[in-house]
Amino acid sequence: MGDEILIVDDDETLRQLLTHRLESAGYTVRVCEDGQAAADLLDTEYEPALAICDVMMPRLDGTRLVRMIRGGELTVRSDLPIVMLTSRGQEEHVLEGFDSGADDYVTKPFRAQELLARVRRYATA
Amino acid sequence: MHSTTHLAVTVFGVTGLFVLAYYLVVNGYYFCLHILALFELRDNVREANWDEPFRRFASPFYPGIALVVPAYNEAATIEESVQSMLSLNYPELEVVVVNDGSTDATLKKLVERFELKEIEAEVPFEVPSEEIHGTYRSTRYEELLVVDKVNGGKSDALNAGIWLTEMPLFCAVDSDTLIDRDALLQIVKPFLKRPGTTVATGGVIRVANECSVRDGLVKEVNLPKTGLPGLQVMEYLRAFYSGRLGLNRLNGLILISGAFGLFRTDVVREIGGYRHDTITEDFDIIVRLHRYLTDEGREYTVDFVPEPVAWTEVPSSRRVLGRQRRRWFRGMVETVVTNRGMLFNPSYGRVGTVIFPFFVAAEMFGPLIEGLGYIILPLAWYFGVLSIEFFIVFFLLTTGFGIFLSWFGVFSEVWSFNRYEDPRQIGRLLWYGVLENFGYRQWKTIVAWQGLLEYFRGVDSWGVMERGGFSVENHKDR
Amino acid sequence: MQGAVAVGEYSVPISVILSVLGLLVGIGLIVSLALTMGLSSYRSLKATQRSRVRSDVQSELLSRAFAPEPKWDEWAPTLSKTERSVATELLAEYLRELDGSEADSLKQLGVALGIPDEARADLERGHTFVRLQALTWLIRLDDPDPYHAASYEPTTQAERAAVARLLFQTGQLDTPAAGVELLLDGATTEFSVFGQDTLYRLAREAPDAMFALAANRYEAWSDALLAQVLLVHGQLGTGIRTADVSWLTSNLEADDEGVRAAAASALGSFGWRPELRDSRFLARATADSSPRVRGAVYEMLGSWGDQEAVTILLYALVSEEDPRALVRGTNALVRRQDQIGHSGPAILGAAWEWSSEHASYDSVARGHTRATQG
Repeated sequence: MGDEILIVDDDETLRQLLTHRLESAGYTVRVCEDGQAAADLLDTEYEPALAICDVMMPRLDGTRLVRMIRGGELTVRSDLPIVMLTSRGQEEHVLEGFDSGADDYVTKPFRAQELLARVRRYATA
Repeated sequence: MHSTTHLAVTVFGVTGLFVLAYYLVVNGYYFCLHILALFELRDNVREANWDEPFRRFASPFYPGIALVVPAYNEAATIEESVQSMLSLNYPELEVVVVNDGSTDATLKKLVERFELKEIEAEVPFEVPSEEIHGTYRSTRYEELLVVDKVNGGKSDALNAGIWLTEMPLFCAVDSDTLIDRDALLQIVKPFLKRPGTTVATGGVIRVANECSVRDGLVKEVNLPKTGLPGLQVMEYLRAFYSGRLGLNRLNGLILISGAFGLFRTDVVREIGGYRHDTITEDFDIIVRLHRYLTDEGREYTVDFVPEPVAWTEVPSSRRVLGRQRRRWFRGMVETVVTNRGMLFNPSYGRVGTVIFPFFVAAEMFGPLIEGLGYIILPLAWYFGVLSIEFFIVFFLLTTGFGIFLSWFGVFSEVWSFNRYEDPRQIGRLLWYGVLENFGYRQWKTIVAWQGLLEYFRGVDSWGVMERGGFSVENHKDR
Repeated sequence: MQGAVAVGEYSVPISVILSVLGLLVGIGLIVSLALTMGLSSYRSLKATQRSRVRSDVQSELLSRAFAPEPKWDEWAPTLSKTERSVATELLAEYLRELDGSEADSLKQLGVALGIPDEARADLERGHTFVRLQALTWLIRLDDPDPYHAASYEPTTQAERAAVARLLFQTGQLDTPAAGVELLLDGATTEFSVFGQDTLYRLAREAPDAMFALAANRYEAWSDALLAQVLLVHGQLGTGIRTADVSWLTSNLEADDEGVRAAAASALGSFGWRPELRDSRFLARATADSSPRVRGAVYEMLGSWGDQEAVTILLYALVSEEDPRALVRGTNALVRRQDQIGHSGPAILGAAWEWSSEHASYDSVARGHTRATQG
């Protein structure tokens, strides 16, 4: 039985890519198109093992979503492992990402192997 | 008696012929512009297809943009608009909402929704606008700045926003304009190509009526079901393809629509920002920019990005539309009169000698003379001065050629961005192209004359555009 | 005048003019109708074809990309024209997101689809944007060979930047300095932002070389280009170890305001240099005639950040009259407020309060502190 992973990204290509990769590695994947949909989903009974989250999204962006989760505003556990994924490679943004509470931060272009390794590490921790 | 009749008859005849000749020339101008537009379009589509191979969001050189949004009594839609603006895809964005002394709950809604707190410090610079009551920052969204001030009109509100931002570029938007998520990335392109010389770029506005909108984004592009908005879709398309795009090729006067334009903040501050006493501040500022920069001898470019990026709701009632168009006409006359020094003035280059005069001839005098034509030519025929054929020629030149230009506009759209993908939609647009020239066009000449009279009478009102939000039917005319 | 128009000696009956016009307009209408409807239907058909094949092509592509042996050469020839086109589009999107072994695998697909060969042909004959698009593909596919094989020389600044990026990325440059040279060679007018960014990335690998090159050549450049290069230096941080910075300091006293402002931002990362601490030099800088330059100088002092610099900044601000330069100064000062006692800012009044309140809201919005009384 595969662990559940939540993918939150507004880019369709990326969602499909990640879904494909993670599913072939044995995980069960759910996707959300933006931060608000993810927030709504995480406010229900759903408890994924890990969430992969893009930073720039409409309605509710990644950084704020992570803060909401860490702040305990949603039903899901506040120590949910979160890996953030983004195009913003500048140092200050990376630090900002860590500051908001993400466990790890991956910039695009990313290595799928590496992402997978991080997922494995955090999801089973 | 006989000689008076003879005189009147001659006058009729000559005027009639003049109108015909005038129309021949104006149509020639539009046709040439349209051809030029096609060349420009080819280059633009090619350029739009080229992805620059660098990671924009990781580049420290991308210019920051401030979105300046004047708001007056927008309580119904302000939250949705601002939320979608905050979600725009752009590396460095600031959203400055200027509450122009609204009498409804606009400010209150903003404070609640975005968790605003008032800044206690005074504004440390001189802002050339009506008094500012306070500035607000959000505790959740660091890119949002809200300014609350005494009512002063749209130009005044824009100036307040422009003076308070620190971003090098600003984009003036109406609060009810829907902006595509990647719009800013598109409209900033000329500034990236020529960072030192570009001072302003304009984006294309499309008609949002009937498009399905979710969370401030246009999801599905549909054609309006009823006549008047449909005609306006056709009109906007033609105006862009045979008007602005062609002028861009000549590097000429660009009418950056008030709903969507990107400017360099420092240069606009240098010319004193938007003027309060104009009716169409968007046209006015671009003309003033041209004048100022030419007078200063500075090298500059004004560019136009044809990739459709912003949507707005157009009036669906004739009354409101009439009001809007009369206002536009008044504004145009006023700006032309104020800047008449540029006409035929070689120190303003091609803009002064060719483009501005043609623009005035076609857009300002054009509808007026056409209106005259509809009266004089039949009268001339009735009195036996000119044969019926003259009238038919006139009709062919205006209506017939008009349909051709409209259809050419639709073709240009299909050839380039093809936003209306269903051939049935295109069929409908072509039909609107026909209707546009039978009735709508003639009605617009009446509106032009009314606008002119209003200008002479000194009418200055803004008019109220009834807004019902995007998910609700327009309010009934009161 | 009744039924004809007189032109010189000839009298053209109006009915003739009418018929000619009518014919012209009629033909114009028919042609544009046919072309428009035809083109729209054609494009719609193509779009439907593409969407039909897309999901199959996509899943096939993804499974092969992640498989140990993708066997692209077997798959690519089986694709129809539409499928190829969709595959190319997807390839471009995926290469934007991925790196590492999957990316390498996808690049092989590019080869199997024949993109490098097409690129070479495009470089030789195409219009400028076609060439740029070809270069973009070569950059994506990490393949410099078609560039070398084609008889092609970059002509525009944008093309030069793309070629430099290509050679840099594929390790074809002898030294990163060679790339910098390539970019700056013959460059007289300003770069596009892409060009400036490429220069930045190249310079990051060889900051000293770039610095030396610029020091030698700057006098030949236009003001706009010089300002851009200076701004690139500003971003290079403390990477530059050697050489004397006199060309930078002399640019702080150049004629053009943009150049002076850019020089100030470049000097922001050289605070550790003792020669910049000359008091007369700094006095001249903070008393520059242009408020824009003074603002940049204040930010420079703020970057230096030590006690001495901050004190100089504070004293300069006390006598600053231009409100915008003042606010830029107080913004810089706020970031270093731990270096000054609380007595300082009171003198600065409204500007200081404005800057510090805004800075505290910035922090709050980023979630660092709970909202406290501003």
